[in-house]
Amino acid sequence: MHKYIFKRVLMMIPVLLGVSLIIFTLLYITPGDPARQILGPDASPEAVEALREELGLNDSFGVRYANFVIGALHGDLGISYTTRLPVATEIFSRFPTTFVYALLCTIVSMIIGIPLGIISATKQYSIFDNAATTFALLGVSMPTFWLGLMLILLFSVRLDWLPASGFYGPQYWILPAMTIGMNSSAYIMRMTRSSMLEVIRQDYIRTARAKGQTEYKIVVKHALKNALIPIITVVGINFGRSLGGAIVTEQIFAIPGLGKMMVEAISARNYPVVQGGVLFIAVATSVVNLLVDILYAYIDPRLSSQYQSGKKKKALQASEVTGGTAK
Amino acid sequence: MSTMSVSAAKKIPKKKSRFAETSRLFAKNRLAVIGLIVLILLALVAIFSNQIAPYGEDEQNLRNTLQTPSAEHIMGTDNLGRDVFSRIVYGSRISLVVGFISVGIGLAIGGGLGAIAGYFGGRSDNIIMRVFDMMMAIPSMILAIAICAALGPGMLNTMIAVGFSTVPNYARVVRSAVLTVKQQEFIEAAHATGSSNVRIILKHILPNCLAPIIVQASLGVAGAILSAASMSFIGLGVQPPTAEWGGMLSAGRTYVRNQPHLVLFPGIAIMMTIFSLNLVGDGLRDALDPRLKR
Repeated sequence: MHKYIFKRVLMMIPVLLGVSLIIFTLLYITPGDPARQILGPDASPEAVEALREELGLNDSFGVRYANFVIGALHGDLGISYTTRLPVATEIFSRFPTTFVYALLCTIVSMIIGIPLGIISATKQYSIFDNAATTFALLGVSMPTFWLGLMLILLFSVRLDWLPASGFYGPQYWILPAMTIGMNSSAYIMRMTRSSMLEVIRQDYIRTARAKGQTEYKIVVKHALKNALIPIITVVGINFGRSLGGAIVTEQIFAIPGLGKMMVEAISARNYPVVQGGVLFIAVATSVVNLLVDILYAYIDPRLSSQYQSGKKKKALQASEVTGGTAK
Repeated sequence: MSTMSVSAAKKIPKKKSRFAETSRLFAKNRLAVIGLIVLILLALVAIFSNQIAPYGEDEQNLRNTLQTPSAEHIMGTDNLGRDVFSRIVYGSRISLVVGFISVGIGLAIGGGLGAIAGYFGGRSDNIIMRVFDMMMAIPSMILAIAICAALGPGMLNTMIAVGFSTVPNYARVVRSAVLTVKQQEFIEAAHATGSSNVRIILKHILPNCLAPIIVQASLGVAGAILSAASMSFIGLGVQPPTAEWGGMLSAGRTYVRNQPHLVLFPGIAIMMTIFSLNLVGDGLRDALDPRLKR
């Protein structure tokens, strides 16, 4: 197991190098001069030129990329152009917000998605199943930014129950968490349903029934436990995605998280923040994927034995599983 | 893509029965058929926008701003006095074009590279797929925003940005489909008769990989429309005064307290489009591969 984890961490290095190269290249070809943007249109060309020199913008592509990578290896992601704070400080000041938000969204989506999926599967083709499946498809189809606005309209403007923007306490969390939670719960519900349907047809479920086991125990103990792996995969993917910041939702609810930071940084040509942010998000996503893979071993003992024997093969399969379902 | 399956159907008689079987299964799925009908209606609205819309796309009337829905303006007017209904009608063009062309871009690049990776295997497979692994480690929305920032706003650039950010998805689907088809005997036979690699990929392998590609593409159109709308919503992407649903929502946000119709109707338009595309995509998946039925 330790060897497997070590190997996975090693595999992250080339991916992170590639990620930084992709985003670095994109920013390199982006038109617009950050120095001009910082100093404003009235600054003299000499001042702009001096600042370009100071920020290292006049160096060649290779030198700039090498400087960035060497800095990143030392934990130095550069200085934000707008706030003049280290990028790492900026990211870590916003990360707790995004983390809390992502956790809330995941909890909401699980609370809605998993029970709905279980009931749908156990009562396949019933009215409830049809209603839940349609609800899930609607949930996937609703743009989150629209759902968020509608929730604000209903709960803050009309009913005046909840605040519309900010992120200061539990009452501020409800609407944003519901917005993303509804959307993700749809994916979780669909996966729970199909995974449960597959398990419920197995012979050992029939055996449990023949033994006279109660229906509740059959569903929760026998079926759900064996249907968990695909469900956890989807939950993990959704959580990883939320860690990258719910870009649009954070805009609507004015949540000071990573997504809002990234969008602002991209439009302000704040290169160090964009590079550092993307790198951080890629690390966070990879770590979540790794944790999900480790979790598999705890849920399914058959898998943990495979981690020991065919490590290479398993690692490939695991990356296939997490990557294949990502959208 | 449809022309491809039709030409394949003409040459191989067995293919025809597959197409007929698929349409029969699809027609049995009532929700999918409803989705298809809504989509066809939407396409007609997009084609005949000029005839359907009572007002022009950017026809302003500053004496008539922020009207609530009435007989004259069934969905009200916006802050510049433009008819919301007309703008939604014109917006269907943008959404459908952006959706389908983005998928076309993603499919052409991703599918092509995925087919090469799957067919040749070895080093080319490794290089191509590792690059896509890296792209997938960046959230697709951030990737799309960064590409859009690099290229500048506008409709064409939005399509390129959205298309590019989905390239790895198509590459994965096509690659795995190619891998399974490649091992079958008729491919070996094609090799033996001296067919070139390009010919084998285009004439023999790809027509047999169509099912997963069609499913991924039809669901991809929904995703592309949503991404493009999100991008206009945060101010990148298609720029005003072009009537784009996400942009309309974004502009109407300021007035959400008193004029909710400005965000309600564009949102419903987006939702209806995505919903019917998802219905069709799910229906196609069930029809093309009954084993995958969810």
